Amino acid sequence: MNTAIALTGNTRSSKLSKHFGRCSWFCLVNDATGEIGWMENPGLLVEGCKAGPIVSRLILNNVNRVISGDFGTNVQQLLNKHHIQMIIHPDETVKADTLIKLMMQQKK
Amino acid sequence: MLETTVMSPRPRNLRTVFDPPRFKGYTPFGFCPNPGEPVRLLMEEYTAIKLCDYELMTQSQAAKVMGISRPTFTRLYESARRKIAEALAEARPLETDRGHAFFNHDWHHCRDCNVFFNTPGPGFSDEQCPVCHSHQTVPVTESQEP
Repeated sequence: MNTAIALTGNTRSSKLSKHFGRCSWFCLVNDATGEIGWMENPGLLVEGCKAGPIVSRLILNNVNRVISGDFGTNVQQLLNKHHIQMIIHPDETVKADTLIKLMMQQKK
Repeated sequence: MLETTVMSPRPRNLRTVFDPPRFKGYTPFGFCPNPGEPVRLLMEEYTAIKLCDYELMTQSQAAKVMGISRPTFTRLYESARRKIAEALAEARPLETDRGHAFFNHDWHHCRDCNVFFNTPGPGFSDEQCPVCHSHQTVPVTESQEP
C-alpha cells in the first residue's frame, strides 16, 4: 500500500502536521518497497476548501492511506468515498522518520 | 372517566460522528478541593461544537453533515455549550460519552502506538495496526470506556 504522511516540511525530520489540509508537504511511502517520495500540498494554492485538489493528487499517486494529526470534515467525506484509510496520530511532535521506521519494521 | 394515554417518545435518530474525540475527558487543575460529579459530554455534542466553532460551519451545514435537522442540531449545540459552561463555571471534570451517535466508518485505536484508524472498505484490517502492525487494537468505543 502507498501511504501519505502530512508533514510540516520535506525532510525525514519534519514533524507531523496538526491538520491534514494545511500541511506543507506529503511524504509518500511505498510500504512494500520502502521507496519514499515527496509531494507539495496542492491545496495550499487554493482559496477555501482544500480537500478536492489534495485527494485528487493522492488518487493519482495511488495512495491508499493517509496519516495526519487531524482531518477536516470535508476531506474525511472525500477520503471515505474513495476508500482511503485515515490514521490520526495524536502526538503532533512525532517525526516522519519515526513513522516511516515503524511502518517498515518487520510485521509482527 | 378520563383515560390517559401514555405515549412513548419518538426514537432518536442516530447522529453521525466523523471522528471521535481523542480524549476521555478533562479535569480542572489548580485549587480544586472538591471537583464534584463529572459533566458527561455526548460525542454528538462534541461533534456539534467541533463543526460549528472549530471548522466554522453554519448550523445548516453542520446539521447536514451529521444527518439531522437544523432544529435538532441547534438543540444539540446549545446543550453542548451549556455542559461545557457548567464544567468550567463549577470546576467540574468533563467526560465524553458515546451518547446516541455512530461513527460513519469504524474507528479503532492501537494500544501500542496510540494511533486511531478507520477501515473504509475491504482490504483494510481492523485487527492489525496499519502503523506499528501490532494486534493490540480495539474499537474506539471500547478504548473510550473509563
